[in-house]
Amino acid sequence: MSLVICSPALAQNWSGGVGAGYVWQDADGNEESFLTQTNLQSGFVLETLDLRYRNDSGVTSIDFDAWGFGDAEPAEAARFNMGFSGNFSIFAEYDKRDSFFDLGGSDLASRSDDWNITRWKAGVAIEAWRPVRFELYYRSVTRDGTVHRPMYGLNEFYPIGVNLDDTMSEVVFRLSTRTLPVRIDFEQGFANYRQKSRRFAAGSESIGRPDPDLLDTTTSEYTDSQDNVPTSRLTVGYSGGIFEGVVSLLYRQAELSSSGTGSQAFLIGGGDTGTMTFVDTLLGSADTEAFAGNIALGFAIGRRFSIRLAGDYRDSTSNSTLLGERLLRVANPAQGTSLDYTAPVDQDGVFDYTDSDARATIEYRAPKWAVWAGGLTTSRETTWRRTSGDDPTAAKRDGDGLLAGASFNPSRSFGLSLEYERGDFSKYVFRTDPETVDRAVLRLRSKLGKGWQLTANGRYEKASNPDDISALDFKSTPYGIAVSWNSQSGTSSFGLDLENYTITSAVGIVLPGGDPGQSDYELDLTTATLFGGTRAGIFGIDGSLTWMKDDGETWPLDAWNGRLRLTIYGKAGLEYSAFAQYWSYDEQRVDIDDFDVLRYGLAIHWRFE
Amino acid sequence: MTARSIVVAAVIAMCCSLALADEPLTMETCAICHEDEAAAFAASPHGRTMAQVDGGILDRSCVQCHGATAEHIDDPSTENVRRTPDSTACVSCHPAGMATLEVSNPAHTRFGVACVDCHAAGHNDLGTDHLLADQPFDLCASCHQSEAGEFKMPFAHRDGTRNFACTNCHSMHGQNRQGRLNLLSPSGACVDCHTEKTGPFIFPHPPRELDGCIACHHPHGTTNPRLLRRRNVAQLCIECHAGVPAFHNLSQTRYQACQNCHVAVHGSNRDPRLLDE
Repeated sequence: MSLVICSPALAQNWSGGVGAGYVWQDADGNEESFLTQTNLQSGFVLETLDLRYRNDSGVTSIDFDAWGFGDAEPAEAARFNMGFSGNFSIFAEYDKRDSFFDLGGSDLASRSDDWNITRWKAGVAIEAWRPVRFELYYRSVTRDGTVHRPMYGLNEFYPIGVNLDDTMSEVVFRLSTRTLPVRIDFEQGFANYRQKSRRFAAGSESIGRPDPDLLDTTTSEYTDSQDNVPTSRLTVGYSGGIFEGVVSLLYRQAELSSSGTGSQAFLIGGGDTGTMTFVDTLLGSADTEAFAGNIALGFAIGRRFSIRLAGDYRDSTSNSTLLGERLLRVANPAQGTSLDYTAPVDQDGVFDYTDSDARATIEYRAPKWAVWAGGLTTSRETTWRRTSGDDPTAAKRDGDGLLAGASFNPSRSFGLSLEYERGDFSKYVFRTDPETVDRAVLRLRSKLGKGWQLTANGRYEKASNPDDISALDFKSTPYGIAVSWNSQSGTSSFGLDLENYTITSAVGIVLPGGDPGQSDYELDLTTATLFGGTRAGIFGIDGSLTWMKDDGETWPLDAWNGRLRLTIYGKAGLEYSAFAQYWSYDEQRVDIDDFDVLRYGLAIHWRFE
Repeated sequence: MTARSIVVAAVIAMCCSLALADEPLTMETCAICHEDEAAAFAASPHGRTMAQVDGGILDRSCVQCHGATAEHIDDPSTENVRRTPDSTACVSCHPAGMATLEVSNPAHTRFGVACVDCHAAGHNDLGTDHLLADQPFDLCASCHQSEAGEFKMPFAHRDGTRNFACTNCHSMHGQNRQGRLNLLSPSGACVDCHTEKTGPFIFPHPPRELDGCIACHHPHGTTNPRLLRRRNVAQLCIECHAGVPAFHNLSQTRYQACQNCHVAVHGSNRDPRLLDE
């Protein structure tokens, strides 16, 4: 009898899709505030592009994905992978994210940012020998753009700009086993870092307060560089019948070299009185050697009990020096006089720390439930001295704690988990370090049947320290519940998500001059999100609506956002969409950063097989 | 079901029973009734990878994942197969995934989260990394709602209208790989993109070195600009800095944003008081 034969053989084929649209944006209120939060704008957007090629031999696969290109979105990415008969593949990844910051009502109002981070990664993966995968790749990260900020000089703030020029490039070799019982993952990278600061005067008048002294020029020609920074990583994992373990190690050695000149020149009395120029010529270095490791072991004892042991260790040693000269030049060009005052710079510092912690847990797991309990210990030792003249600061901090939890999973449709953890610490590195921390986490998920699902979660955290440290009193209680429904066919769904996030924090502070005070912070944020979508014939609709309200004393606000998308499914894989998005942001204390923004647009998608 | 269908099914079952009495079940057998599913799986990335490693793995894949036996051929019921494979099926080929999952991230297994809760079985080419059944953010958000909710806050780590992928920073299986230096520092995941803040610095800011970026920033989102933990910058700084000289009059606007002067809050290579980058 001849039966149906299912073969993996596959004809050569291409499949994929592309979707693009155009977005219009109307803003009422402070559009810079909206850009700071979302950085969304009008313009073209590539919503999605994916290409797949599959073949039985030779070039067996090509995958290309891209999204976000165009002016409308602040992030874009692309990815390419080409496989050759399962023996090796070449790959490349790219992404870029634009960052914008310009607020009017914040205490950061005097600063604005417009820069981007671009990342590249490309390499080859060799899998010809099945047990081991080799990977060799190059990656680079660049930050480019401009920051505008105030600069303090002559007892006033002056507007300056800084052109950013930060680059990181790295070559990495990676080896990972795939079929051995012991999994080994080794990675060796060598990285170069370069940061160049390019400061310029963005105006001559002082900010906010009229002053007869003007900023003439400011420059910075510093270059901070690190060459061939080696980073070694090794992870070894084993899984057997009664024992599992993972050990990870990391070693890194970095040598920073810094050199250059920075200057500021002021026109005293608008230049009538003379000029005052500050010039710093500096040469510095910072060497760091760091080692880190962690270990996680699990032992099965019989069918029900298991013991888990985990530990982390970090050790870092840094030494730094700064040499050079700071020059003050006072000149009166009209009289032809010039006086120079110089001060040498000769400083060295250290920053060392060692962190370690360990945790042991015993667990009993029945088919439908589990309980566990354990203990933990932690310690931190740190020493630092900023400059040659400072006394070293040395601090040691110890802690121990306990944890207990239980979970109930009678079926794949229901899960309930509760865990509590407490930590007690002695000694303080920072005055806001807690003496006690209590933390509890509750999670529930339940498939109610007929496509309904219910999830709930809650977290409670409380931390405090004594009055003679900083009288810390911190409490955080995020919790929420969500219900959703999915049709059996998967074409329709909707849901409601309710969340509340409360933070209250009180810290005893010492005000400038020595008077005691208290720093209070309160967040009481309620968020409700309604979402859904369905398709009927050639018509589809999906959308969401989010309402957000912060009733906390610190900075109460209301915010809305919603989106709606209508789609018509045409022939030959074509889809036509119209969409609208709405944002509203309303701060209760001031109006300067409030906005209402409507975005709307059209998009077309095409898929082919 | 028509009488003709019943007769055909009975004949197939009888033939299979006779032919396969002494042979292990293979995909070819399953394809008699599940032709579309078998063909789709064989053509999917999961199936193709199996075939590249060893054709035998693909042949046995139906049984390996769904546990079908000759009993299922005699009685094609959902009661004698695993419609949804459990994690043991996955681990039979991917032991390393479970090793790190169990030991380093037991919370998932304690909560009953199985491989197929996040990973699709691979019968269709979803075009996702690691056969994920959905976008990483949506998968994680189905349980971690509060964390997902933080990304809805006014100032959040966003990719425009797209959700930020949790896997950009978090390792699901405990390999500690996300973030180039995350083993070394709590800032490890952050400096994967913000490389200029990697350090070392000639004059470091101790909280950044010891507690990482999260000493001052909420990484997911917050109602405060710059993802800061406090609305007011001076409030954030002065909670730690107790010995600030008296001329810092906090009632004046110029002193309410410390970074106006102390511009190098992440660490300076020029000034011990962080007055210059």
